[in-house]
Amino acid sequence: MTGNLITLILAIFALGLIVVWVRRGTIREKFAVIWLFLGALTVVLSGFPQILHWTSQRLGVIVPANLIFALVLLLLVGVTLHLTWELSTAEDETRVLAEESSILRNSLERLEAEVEALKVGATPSPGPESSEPS
Amino acid sequence: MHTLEPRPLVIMPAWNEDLIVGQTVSEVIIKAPQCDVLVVSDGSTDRTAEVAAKAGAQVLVLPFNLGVGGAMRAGFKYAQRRGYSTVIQVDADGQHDPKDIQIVLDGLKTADISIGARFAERGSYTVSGPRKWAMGFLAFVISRLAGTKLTDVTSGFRAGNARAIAQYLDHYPAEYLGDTIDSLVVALRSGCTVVQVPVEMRARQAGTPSHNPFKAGIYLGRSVLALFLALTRKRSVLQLEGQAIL
Repeated sequence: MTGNLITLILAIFALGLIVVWVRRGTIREKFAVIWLFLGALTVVLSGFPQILHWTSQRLGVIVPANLIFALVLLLLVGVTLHLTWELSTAEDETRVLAEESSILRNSLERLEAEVEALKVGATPSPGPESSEPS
Repeated sequence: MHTLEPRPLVIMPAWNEDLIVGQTVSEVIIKAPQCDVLVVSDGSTDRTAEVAAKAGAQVLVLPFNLGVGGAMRAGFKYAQRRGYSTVIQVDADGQHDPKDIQIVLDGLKTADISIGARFAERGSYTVSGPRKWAMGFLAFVISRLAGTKLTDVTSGFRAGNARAIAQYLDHYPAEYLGDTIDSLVVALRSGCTVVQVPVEMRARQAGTPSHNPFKAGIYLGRSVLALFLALTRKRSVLQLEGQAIL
């Protein structure tokens, strides 16, 4: 039973950590949900291992540990896919921000130059862009 | 919305090219005075932006490196916001001869996208090995798609009209080779037309071209991957001046 006890302690520790992180705002809730679910599941399974035995018997898995391995692998693949998705979206959003910031910077520099030109009393030097006569 | 800008915009993506970009910009301004020049400094850590501005170009400064595709996207967005209806991409390294800019732009009279092709009858640019096979294969597939013979689909010397700009903004992948193959394939599938005009390519005036066969092999693999990805992407429905043109 010591094995179960260690699992239980680790699971509770992980759950606590996730809760603390979510409260601090270190990780977003949408990422926390999966880990909270997983932690809760581990706590339940280490408390009541007969659930695992019963489930694997029903599914025809002879060694209950193999059921755990299979499920965990599936879950990790899912989590990785989700992270890839999120990262790609985030990169795309960052790229758009970079484009916007560069265009805004260009407009700002253009405006500053025009204001500067107005200040010294001269007409703003018409760049290739600003074709309106002033 | 800005007023319509009749002048073509030369978009020049540049990443740490302060040794050459000034000269290239000046040359474009002298040899193609009908164009405005925009240099997109793609996360450069040197004086690219400063040198380009001094040479008389408008400058976009990207805060970090996005690659040629990303830089071009920013350029297209700028063009659309400023009301440009014609753009042409020119390399900052001086490989594209500015005197050919008008030749490539003239191609737009008959198509939405005009590609300045490296070895269509003119010039002395040669490639060999896997890179050549890759280019041959890509050219074959994309020619079939375009319904016209294209020999140099990876050329960065290309011009587009307002329709092409709209399509590019909807889908212009910022990924490797996305700026050439992927964007072209999706543009074709979305109904844009392409024409190829022969131009000369000069030796690069800075930087070294890669002739490593291993790298060329990787290039082959990645270009085929890019092609197949592009063939499976969804078409874009173009919106221009409020109405769909498809």
